[in-house]
Amino acid sequence: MADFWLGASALFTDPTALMIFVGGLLGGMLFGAIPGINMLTLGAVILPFTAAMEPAHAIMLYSVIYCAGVFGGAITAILFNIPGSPENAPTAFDGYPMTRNGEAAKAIGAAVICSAFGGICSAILMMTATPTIAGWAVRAFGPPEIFALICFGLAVSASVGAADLWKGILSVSLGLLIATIGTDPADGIARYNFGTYYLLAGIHFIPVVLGLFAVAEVFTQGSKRLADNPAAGRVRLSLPSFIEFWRLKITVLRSMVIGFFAGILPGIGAVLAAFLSYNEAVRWSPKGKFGKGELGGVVASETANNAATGAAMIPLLALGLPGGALTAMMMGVFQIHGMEPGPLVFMTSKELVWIVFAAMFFANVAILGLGYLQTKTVVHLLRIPFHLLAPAILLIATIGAYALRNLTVDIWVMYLAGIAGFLLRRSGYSVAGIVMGLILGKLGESSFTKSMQLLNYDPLALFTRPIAALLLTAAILTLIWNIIAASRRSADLPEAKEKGEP
Amino acid sequence: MQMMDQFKRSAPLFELAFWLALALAAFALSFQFADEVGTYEWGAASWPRAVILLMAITALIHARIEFRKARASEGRAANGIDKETWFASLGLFLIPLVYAWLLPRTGFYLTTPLFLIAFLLYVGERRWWVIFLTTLVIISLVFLVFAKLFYVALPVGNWPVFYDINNWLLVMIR
Repeated sequence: MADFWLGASALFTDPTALMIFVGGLLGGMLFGAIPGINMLTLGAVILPFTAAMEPAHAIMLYSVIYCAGVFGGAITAILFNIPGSPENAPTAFDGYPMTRNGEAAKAIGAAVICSAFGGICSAILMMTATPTIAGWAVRAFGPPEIFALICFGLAVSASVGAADLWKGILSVSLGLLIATIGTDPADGIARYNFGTYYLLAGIHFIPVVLGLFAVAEVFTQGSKRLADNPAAGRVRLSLPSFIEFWRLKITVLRSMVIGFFAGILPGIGAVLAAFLSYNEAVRWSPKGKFGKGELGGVVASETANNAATGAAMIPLLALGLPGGALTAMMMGVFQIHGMEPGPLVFMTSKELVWIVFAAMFFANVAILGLGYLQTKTVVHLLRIPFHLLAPAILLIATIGAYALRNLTVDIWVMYLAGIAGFLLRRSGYSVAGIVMGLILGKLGESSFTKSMQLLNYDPLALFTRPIAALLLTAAILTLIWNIIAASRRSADLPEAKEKGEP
Repeated sequence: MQMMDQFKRSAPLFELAFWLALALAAFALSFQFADEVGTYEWGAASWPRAVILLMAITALIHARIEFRKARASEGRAANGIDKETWFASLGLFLIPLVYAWLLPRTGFYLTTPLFLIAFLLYVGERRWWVIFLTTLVIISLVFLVFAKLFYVALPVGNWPVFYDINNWLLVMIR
């Protein structure tokens, strides 16, 4: 508790920290709510500029953007059927039909309350659980365990975000291959640098992230030309009644638990949390009008995705593993400041950890109040056609990529990644998978190399260490389970054809 | 139209060709550093080759499944990117790429307004006052924040006249 107040006082007594907190909160809510761009766009664009900030402020900024952005995306998901971020996709399943039924205000009201509730509970759990996990991880996690954990994270992330498992694995393997450009971690031998020293340091993930998220999104929206940009609907904030909420108490609690535990798993983050929670809500309420405007659908999705935000910080801070795209960017912030997220952060940068925890807690509290203000303002912003916003996004992304190392090659990498992201997304590949592969690839190879040197080049010796064995088995089982599920789905196709089903 | 449908149905083949070509190229290039001697016994090429193997095997399995799907859905409209989207996207890609090529030559401060105008025109904006105001607002904000406030060193061009003009503009802004 004392640590929490230490973090809170560091946040509220430092004007710079407070300004960054408010900026992150408003920016996250705003970017989360503008169709076509999202908190990842904001995160990618500001990433290079965090180098000038204090590490604690930079990490805190991203954690606040994370909380606010996940909530902000619900507004456009409900109003226009455009999820602000992937974790808001299930919110649109019932939120948008509610808007068409004239219940937009009720859906948004539920999203505001559930997001704040899920986020606050998750922040409390995070504050209780993370130091314990971190203390244990210091003693238990060596290179073999880290490698096994990365394998598990990659196995899980391959199954999320892509059209099918195989495309997910291909996306991750592309990221892993890009990560090998530069030098090898053991001896610094140059790889795939094509004779140019620009590539010796490897492909920096910032231009790739900017390209895959911000630029690809502009290309996607631009290609649609926004000919039928929907007009903003009328938005009022009328919260659901207490009785309506009381009926959904089990859904709220179940979604919070699902969100928290799904958020802990590296490589999954809030996206799977929201989908899992929505699926469970449907499974446990067979009589509900899910997909046609059921309040429980919005409640399940929004509680879970915000509950996952706090949980996603646990693997990042305790083990140095990002749980999603934005936490992967946070890992980038750590690297920019020459720090390595992981168990040691709790000992070397205690203030940083607790300022982040306090900021996330208060960000979720602020969502309750600001949710009302946002619904009043965001509608006006949504009236700006996307084609007028697009060049500004491209311009800021260009500056962000260039300012990183003052190299034009980073601008090229960004635009090429943007084109690749546009094409890969349209073909059902996962750009989040590519980013996960790129970021975890370097760490994975480094820990594997150290492990093999430690274990006399016997890969099977990884299974002699209990935690590594458990994680590797979990990774293998995850892959086998997903492969069986994918095979069943593809086997159903010819049968369906024979029966004449569409 | 028929040709486009054929193209869409061949998408799994194109995807397979892409992944295998990428894997093959990466594998061939790995010989450049495979023989380098270091402290790590398995060498610098072992990890990339493992990734390449994973990529190639997955691409082959995926292609097999996609071909089965394509056979199962024969006669139905194929999903994919339509012709109009392709052409619209080509222009969208080209404008930023030309901008990226011009930046180190003609400089950020002179090239950016032209880029903004070109992009706005391309995405269908025809009202000159909207183009003018949008360009002015974006440029003013970007120049103010990044050039004046954050002192971000942006390219000033390496073509003689452009270099001078960009530097003059930069002095004016700051």
